Amino acid sequence: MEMFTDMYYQLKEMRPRTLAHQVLNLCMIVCSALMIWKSLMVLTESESPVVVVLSGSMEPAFHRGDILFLHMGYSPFRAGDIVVFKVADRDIPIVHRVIKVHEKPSGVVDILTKGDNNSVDDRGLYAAGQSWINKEHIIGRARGYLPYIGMVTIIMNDYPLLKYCLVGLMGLFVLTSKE
Amino acid sequence: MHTFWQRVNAIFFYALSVLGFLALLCAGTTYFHTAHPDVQLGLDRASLRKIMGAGHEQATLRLSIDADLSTVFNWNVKQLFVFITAEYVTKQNKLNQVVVWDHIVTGKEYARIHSSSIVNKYSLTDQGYGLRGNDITLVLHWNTIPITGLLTTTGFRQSVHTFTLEDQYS
Repeated sequence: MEMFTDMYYQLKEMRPRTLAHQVLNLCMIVCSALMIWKSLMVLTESESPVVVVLSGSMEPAFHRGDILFLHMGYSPFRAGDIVVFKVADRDIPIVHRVIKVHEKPSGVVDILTKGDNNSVDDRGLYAAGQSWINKEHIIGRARGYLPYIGMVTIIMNDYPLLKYCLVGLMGLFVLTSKE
Repeated sequence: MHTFWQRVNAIFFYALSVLGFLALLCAGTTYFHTAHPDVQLGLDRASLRKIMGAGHEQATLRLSIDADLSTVFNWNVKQLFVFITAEYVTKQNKLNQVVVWDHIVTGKEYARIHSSSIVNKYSLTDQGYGLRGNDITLVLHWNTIPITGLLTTTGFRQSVHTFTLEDQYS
């Protein structure tokens, strides 16, 4: 608690110019985080370069809370690729493996996916009447894997209060930090 | 300057960067690991029938596998996702690739796969009528899931099994 009162007095006693400088500092941090994320989007050609695994449908390869790094790439889709895709009427992207590929001479490709841990393919998850997914449904291909770290995101999404507290605390630290 | 929380913060981020460095080293050193896999694929029987559904022709295969993938394992491999694809070309499609069988290998001691008379796990169904009398190539692949690092897929094309499906339905 002493820490917070210290911070409070520190902020109160700050000259306007110093305060403005600290606020700008905070803005810089937020902006650079955003810039890194957006540049990653460009580099990986994927709208979501890093995803957290939310379900156990790919166990034992990926568990809930593991992180996947995505990259789209130009090489054609092949069976065995682990893709992240979005289908109509479902907000949450799905991470599953490609089990069937039918590539037309025009380059259009019909893909069927399945979760390693599921007993049936994904036709039941697709939109009504949809038998295949195509390139436009795919957000990216999983290329890198890091276990456990995504648990932090899952916990913060489950307890939003914790998220606000942590973000607020970090903001306070930046505002009161001395060079 | 050095309050309790600053110290906790410093220790936490130092530990995190050490962990990150070790993970990078663990994943990076696998570059020097070479695998000597040994794969033999075979086909005991194949039959073809006409269906009405997402496709029109479906083949049933009876396969045999003799593979030793134990050398693929190294210090950064959590599991191998081993699968066999049937690959063929039709008038309609320039490539058809269908997984007919898969298997998860969770350790070096299970990496010797010796099975005969395996019936295909997933249906080999063509989108049209492209299977009859067509040449099919069976290829064994494995997708390496690391403990941490890059996900890679290898198709073992040095030893594939090619056969021609019969020209009539059974």
